[in-house]
Amino acid sequence: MPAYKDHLRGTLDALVLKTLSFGPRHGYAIASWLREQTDEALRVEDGSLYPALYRMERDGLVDADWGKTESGRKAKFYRITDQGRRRLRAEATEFAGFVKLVSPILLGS
Amino acid sequence: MSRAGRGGRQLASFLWRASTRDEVDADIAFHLDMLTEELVRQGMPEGQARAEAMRRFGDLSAVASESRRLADERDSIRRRSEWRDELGQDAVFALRQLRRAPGFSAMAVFTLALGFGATAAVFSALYAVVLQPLPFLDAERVVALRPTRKGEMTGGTTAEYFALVDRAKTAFSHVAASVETGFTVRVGNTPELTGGARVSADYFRVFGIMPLLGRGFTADDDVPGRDGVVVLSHAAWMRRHSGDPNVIGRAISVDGAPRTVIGVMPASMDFTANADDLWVPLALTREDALRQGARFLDFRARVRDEVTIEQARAAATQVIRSAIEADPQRRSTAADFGAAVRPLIDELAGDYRSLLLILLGAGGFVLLIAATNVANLLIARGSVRARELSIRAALGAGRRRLLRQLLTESAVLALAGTVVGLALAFGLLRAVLAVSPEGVPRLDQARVDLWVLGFTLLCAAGSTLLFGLVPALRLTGNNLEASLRAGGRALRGGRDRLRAALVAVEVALAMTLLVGAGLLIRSALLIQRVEPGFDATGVYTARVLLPAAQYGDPADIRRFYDQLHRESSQLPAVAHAALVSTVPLSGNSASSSVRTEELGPDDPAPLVPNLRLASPGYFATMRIPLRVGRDLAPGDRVDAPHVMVVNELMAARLWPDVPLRDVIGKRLNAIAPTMEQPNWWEIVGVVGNVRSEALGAEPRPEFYVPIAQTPDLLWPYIQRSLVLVARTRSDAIAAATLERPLRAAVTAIDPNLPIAEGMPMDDFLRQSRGRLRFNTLVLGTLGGIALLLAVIGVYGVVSYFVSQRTQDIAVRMALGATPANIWAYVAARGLLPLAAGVGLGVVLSLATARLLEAQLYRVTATDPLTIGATALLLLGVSVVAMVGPARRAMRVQPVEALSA
Repeated sequence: MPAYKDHLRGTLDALVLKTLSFGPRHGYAIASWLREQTDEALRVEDGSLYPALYRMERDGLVDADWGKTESGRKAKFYRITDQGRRRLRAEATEFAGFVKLVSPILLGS
Repeated sequence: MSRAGRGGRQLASFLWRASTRDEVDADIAFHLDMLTEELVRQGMPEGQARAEAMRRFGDLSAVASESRRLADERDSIRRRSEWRDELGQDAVFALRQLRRAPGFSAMAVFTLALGFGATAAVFSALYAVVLQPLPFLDAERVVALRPTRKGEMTGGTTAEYFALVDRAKTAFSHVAASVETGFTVRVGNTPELTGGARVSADYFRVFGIMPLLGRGFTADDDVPGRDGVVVLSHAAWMRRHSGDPNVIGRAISVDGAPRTVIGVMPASMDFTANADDLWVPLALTREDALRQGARFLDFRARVRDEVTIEQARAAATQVIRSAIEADPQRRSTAADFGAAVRPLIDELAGDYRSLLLILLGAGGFVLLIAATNVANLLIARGSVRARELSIRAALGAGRRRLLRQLLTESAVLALAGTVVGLALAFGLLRAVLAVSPEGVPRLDQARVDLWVLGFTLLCAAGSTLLFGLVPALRLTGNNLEASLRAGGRALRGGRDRLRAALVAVEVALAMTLLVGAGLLIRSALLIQRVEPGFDATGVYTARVLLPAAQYGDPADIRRFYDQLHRESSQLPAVAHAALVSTVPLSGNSASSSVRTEELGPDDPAPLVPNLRLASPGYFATMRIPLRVGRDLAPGDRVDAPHVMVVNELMAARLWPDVPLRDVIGKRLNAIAPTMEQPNWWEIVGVVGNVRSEALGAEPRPEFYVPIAQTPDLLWPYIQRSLVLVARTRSDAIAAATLERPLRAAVTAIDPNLPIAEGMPMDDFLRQSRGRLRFNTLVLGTLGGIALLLAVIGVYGVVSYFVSQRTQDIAVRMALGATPANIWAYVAARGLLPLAAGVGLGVVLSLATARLLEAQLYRVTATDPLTIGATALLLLGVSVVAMVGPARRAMRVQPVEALSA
């Protein structure tokens, strides 16, 4: 079901942008955050995070720099850009509209 | 963007692939390490934790390669946008720089505009005449097919037409025959003479053009008896019928007979200014083909998609040879025959292609000179820029960055030059069109359009590299730090040499152009003095064409012309009047082989002289001198013994050792229908030679036969048409005053007859000189521009030298140098490159003037007088250009200059 898949990817992107809106972090931290926030319910393989990050970097939604972690390791830190913030806002609005439209039907009210 | 990030990406651009690989690998490795450590912390053994981390990660290689691909895309997008940003900065900076030096900028832009304008104007003419495709479907497949005999192109026969239609199907999808001809069309009361063609059924299908209205010809129309139909051109339909769609089915009078209009062709069929007005069926028959016909057909054909032109030529050659072998009465060897097949566009453009290419080359020279000049200006400005550039270099700008900055400035100059140049081209093109000789096909369609814009931009890009790169490389290549310390002077010595070399190149190019122009000017002067062999002053010419319907009988034709001759001779305004088949320099000619009595039946004909049908009084009217014997006379009637008058050249060629008076009475066999029916003519007079083909062409052997004795079979081939020539009573009276009385004389005999090509004989002379005048004017203008630019170059070098050496000069003067010493010191700077340039120019002229040979008259391409005069001109003008700077040098006040 391609529409569903697309939606999932859009959701993953939006969630990543959401994470980064709190501050820069490396890929592992993003993955950990996703796992915690969704109670591991969102079963995405860790690996699928990276193409998403690189795609968003290509599209100018995130930027990245190499830096040091607290433990002194070299890691790539991702940052949200202004363009990324705008996208996040748009995704959120769209999702809210989607929920408002669908939930009365699926859940009753 | 952080400085570190930028530095990283710059590094990345050097080690591109490797770097994104490392980046992604490190990113993922970090993730796996962290996850493994986490799992170990949760109590998992080390090795197991690693495997679990890998499992959770998913398809490692797929993720890594997808990420790498995305990272590569990211990098190239960033490089592009960075490049655009810098370009924008450079352009803004360049504009500011150019505004700061308005004199320099205006000079550079103007110089480039001259180069671009000249080249663009010539290119637009070349494009319109030669390069622009014809408005047909797959126009390059539409070919002109000409039979050849011993390599010379000739017309085709009816037998060859049917052979091509029947047996050349593998090479050509359609073959058509046509004959260009004049028609008398009558709409309402005024007869009008127009040009058109009789064409075979497939004619329009060869061009792939569908009729706009009605239909084209079918095989059913192309048959004698059913051919009373006509197709109109778009132009004729608009002009004579005001674009009325109801014209289809209407009858119009063509050559005195009614024909039904069955179709109107679209405007694309009017691809040249003097395209056909209307078309009627040719209606050839296979019975005609059996009698070996005359060579009077033009063949047009469409080559099949998968067939090359060369294959088509081979196929046509084979078919034409077989058609000749099939002729039982053949007199010639089939192997002598062949076919020439070339795209119709080549046939149309003809030798204008090479002429326009020469002119484009000349335009290119002007462009080169302009570019060299600007390079020189840029180098001169280099001393001002060196300081600024070295500061920027000290602040960390790399050499490539500076180079790009300088090239951007050049590009901005070139772009401004393009804009001004195109405006200039627009004006130049109008001037070219105004002086262009008549009959250059499609020249009227020349425009400054997108093609010209594209071409000019290409020139601009090329010349930017040419004039921008050399100074920029020099400026950024030297030790910039040293120049910072020396305030720019460190570069001077090398720059002087480079500038001198550039001026030498300019002078050489200008010299070459001027030699070309000089050769043409000499030709034009010589042509002006050529004696054409006749006197055109006060002579008016008008062609009369008799329609077949009323004048099918040769007796009627003779009667009409006889009466026209008598009545026009008696007009009060006319001193002499005569009739002739073609006037000299009109571009029309006919010829016939002649055989002397001494010749055996198998000997080849010794000569194929030009043939003219003439009435008595033709030589008097044209003032062609009669050397011996008599003029053609009214007594040389149809039933009298056949007589002819020959020119001196023909007499000399046939009988080199016989005195002229003994040529009278000799007999020649000419215009014979077949070998078995000789047609003997007695020579009764010898006249002077006439330049009948072109003023620049030597006279040809020529003979004149009386109109009354013209063989009947000849009349249809010349469309029963003759030219009425008449001379005014006094040379002081303009020939054009005869137009009205002559027209009236024609109408008095037959009110349905129009006069075509009414024109003073002087106009033919003018047209014949027109092309040379055009070449001279265009090349002369380009040469003048080149001279101007080269002189500016010389001036620039000397003037710059003086301004740089003020102190030097002051020292010399303080030490007692005389003004003459100073002049010599300064002039040496200009004369050295000048002399080198002239020397190089002589070599270049000798190498290139050969291209002009076909355009010259009685001047060799290596004419020493022209080359010498050009060299002197260049030297003279350049020395004048040096006077200004030299005087400035002599006014230097030693004390002031040295204390400054």
